[in-house]
Amino acid sequence: MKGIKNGIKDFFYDISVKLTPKNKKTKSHSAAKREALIFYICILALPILQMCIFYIGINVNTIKLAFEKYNPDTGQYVWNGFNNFKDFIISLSTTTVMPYAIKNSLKLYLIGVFIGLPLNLIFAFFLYKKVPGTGFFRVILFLPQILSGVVTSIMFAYFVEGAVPAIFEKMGVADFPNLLSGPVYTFPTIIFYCLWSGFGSQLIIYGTAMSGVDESLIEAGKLDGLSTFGEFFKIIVPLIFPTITTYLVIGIAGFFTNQASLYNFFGQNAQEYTQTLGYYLFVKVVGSKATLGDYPVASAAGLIFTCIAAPLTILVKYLLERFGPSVE
Amino acid sequence: MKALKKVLALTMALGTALSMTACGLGEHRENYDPNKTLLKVGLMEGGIGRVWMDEIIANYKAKNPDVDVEVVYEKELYNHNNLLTSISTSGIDVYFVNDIYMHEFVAKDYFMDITDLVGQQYEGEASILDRMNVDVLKESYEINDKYYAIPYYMATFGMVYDIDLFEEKGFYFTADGTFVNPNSFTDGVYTGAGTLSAGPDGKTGTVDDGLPATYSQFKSLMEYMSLYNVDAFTWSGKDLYYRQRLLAAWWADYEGVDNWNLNLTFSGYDTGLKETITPETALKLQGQKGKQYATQFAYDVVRGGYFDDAAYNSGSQTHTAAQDEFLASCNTSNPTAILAEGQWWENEAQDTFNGMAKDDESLAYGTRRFGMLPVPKADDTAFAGAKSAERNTVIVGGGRSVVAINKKTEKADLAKDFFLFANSADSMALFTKYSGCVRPYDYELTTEQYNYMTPFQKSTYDLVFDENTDVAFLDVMACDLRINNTSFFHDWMWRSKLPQGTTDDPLTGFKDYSKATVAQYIQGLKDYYTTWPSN
Repeated sequence: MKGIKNGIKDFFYDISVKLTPKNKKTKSHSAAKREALIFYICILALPILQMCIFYIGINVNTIKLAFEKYNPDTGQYVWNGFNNFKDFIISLSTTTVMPYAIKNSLKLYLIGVFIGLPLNLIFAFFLYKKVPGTGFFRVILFLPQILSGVVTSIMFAYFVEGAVPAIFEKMGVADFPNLLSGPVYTFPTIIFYCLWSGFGSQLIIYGTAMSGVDESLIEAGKLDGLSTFGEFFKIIVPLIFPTITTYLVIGIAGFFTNQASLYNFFGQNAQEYTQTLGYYLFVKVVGSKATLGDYPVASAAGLIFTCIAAPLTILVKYLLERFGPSVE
Repeated sequence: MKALKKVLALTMALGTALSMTACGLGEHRENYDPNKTLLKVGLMEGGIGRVWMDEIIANYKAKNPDVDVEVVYEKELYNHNNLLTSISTSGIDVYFVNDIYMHEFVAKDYFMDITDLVGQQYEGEASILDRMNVDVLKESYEINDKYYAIPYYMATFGMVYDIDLFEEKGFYFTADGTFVNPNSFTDGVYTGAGTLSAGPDGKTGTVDDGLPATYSQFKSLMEYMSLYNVDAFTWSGKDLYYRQRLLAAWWADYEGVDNWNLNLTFSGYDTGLKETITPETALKLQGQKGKQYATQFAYDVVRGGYFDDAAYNSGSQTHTAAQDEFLASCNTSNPTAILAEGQWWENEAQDTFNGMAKDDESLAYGTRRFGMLPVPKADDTAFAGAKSAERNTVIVGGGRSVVAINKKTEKADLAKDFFLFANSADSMALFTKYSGCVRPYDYELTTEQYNYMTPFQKSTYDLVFDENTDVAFLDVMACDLRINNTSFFHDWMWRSKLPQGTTDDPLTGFKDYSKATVAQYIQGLKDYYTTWPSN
């Protein structure tokens, strides 16, 4: 590995030597400054332009759209006041999908926090402690992150719908249920998939945070007779709590946007009982069913979600920082 | 170090540029003669394929040696929203696309006014408009007394059955109502005892002889199939589209085209419901008896277990996976008899046919025999259809397909000339020859062209153009209420609010909710629409 690295380094060095003009004149200070400025502008121009278009522009347009209505006769958006907000709020109680979407989003968030997060921390801790098989688990758990989400979900679907029933049939269990079909099994399977596929990235983050913990604190704890269990709860968790806080805070926003890979699994045809708020909004603007007339209500829904998520996020952050664990 | 940065920056820039090139220009990019005028044709990728277009282009280039034509063959690029955002800068001159809401393109002034073009004669043949043979299309494609696009294609949809399997297992009825013995056919001709029943059309000596004529016969056939370990049905578990259309085929055939079209126009008299339908009272159409008929069929299929389990693999069973499994099932101990598919499916599955033919030539494309199973007539008088029993109604897709000229084209005259050429009767015949689908215009195939088609393509061609067949379009935007509320009517066909939960189609609903009944489903179709649009 090191050899390859050195090889690449040497290759680029050779090219740089060839490209560097000999007997170069020393540049004046102002010329160097100007060159540096041009360089920084060039480097920053694209990301700033991108941010202007895809962040500022889109958000401004979304806010504007939330107050407009599409007129199919003219092909133009026209002012619609607060009607889109009203329509969306009414739809919360009149459409059949909304109760499912809210319930499923909540389930996904809570299971992520109360099952996913502890599991991630425990696994990260074991890897941090370098238990036997650490390398193997690291690769296996991180594998879903390396592959594209679409590929992972397709593989998972084939495994669940093809391999799993076949395995159970071989074991003598006839009529093993399709875990990606029907109101009983589908969403729990999706939750499992979300936990499994999201494992790797969190593992890396927590693992990195844990490896930043001062070894002397661990040593001191051990001298005081701290068990592995105590080390985890009394040193590691409090010290990496800012990282955990970040995940919990991001999760609040994710509550409204997480589409739980449903589009990868079912396209725009996910049954209502599997839908989340994120998926509901996603298919409103993507896919063959979406039309320009759907955008305003989707924008209004997005703004309503932001109005709920923003203060909630700040509150959760405050509470976690105020009442979260600290090293004694 | 600076030079190293330069090299790195250059490498990254090159990488970005290459990846962006890959996004915009796909494999369709070929070498074109710079001395010729280049016309760009946008063709939607799908089961219809592009061979027919290549043939038309070859003919056009032979006639116009100074012109070159590039086909931009894409799928997602041409879905409604993507096309809306890309058309003004696409550089594509003529489009052949499907599933778009044409009115939005016209409102935004993206399509050229082709009223004169569709009304003019071309090389001695009748005008496109005169040859357009479906009234509901003529009306719905006319916007403010003008034409901006014409229908691209129509393709029927329904129950594709494996004729070889039917003959081998004896899934046919004799005139006295019993099943024929297995292997009673020689070269497709019945050689068993007695004679075959007259089939759904009531006439002997036609292609549907021996096929189930009534619903009770159909039900007993499904039961009979299960005795032979044959699954009656399969469909795409992932794509709702196929289940919706399978059931629509039953619904439309029961109702007849006039009652069916009320679901598109929301205006007229329903002979089954004995009600005048207006935009304000259109919700009553959810009670059409044809819907009950189709729902009962779905109920019986699900409760009887007459399906391949893979049909409920909603995460992995795409429509092409369903085609593959259907084709491959003939080599298993548990074959499948009927696939819910469209007229284009054989064309789309050619690779699978070719793969199977490597091991067994009798399984090759065009050698295996498939047909479109006619929908059986209701046999309960209380359930009788509103239309006359002699006529068939087949559903067809393509009601939102368009051939249009980009308003921004810089080669308007050339685009118009190509438009006329590609929509001439000769070109339409080529379309049918190679795709197996048809266009809703008057045109004829030569004997050579007809014989080129597979048995399935011939049978569907014969069915659609039969004098006793009415075509019922699935998705024409034929009234303002639908045009102005496209999202509202997405789920008009089958979404139902059952007591146990809302479902998208009966085949899924009855599987998901084991206690749901047909009556609940029909009630749920009405209950789903708690509000009704005002315009």
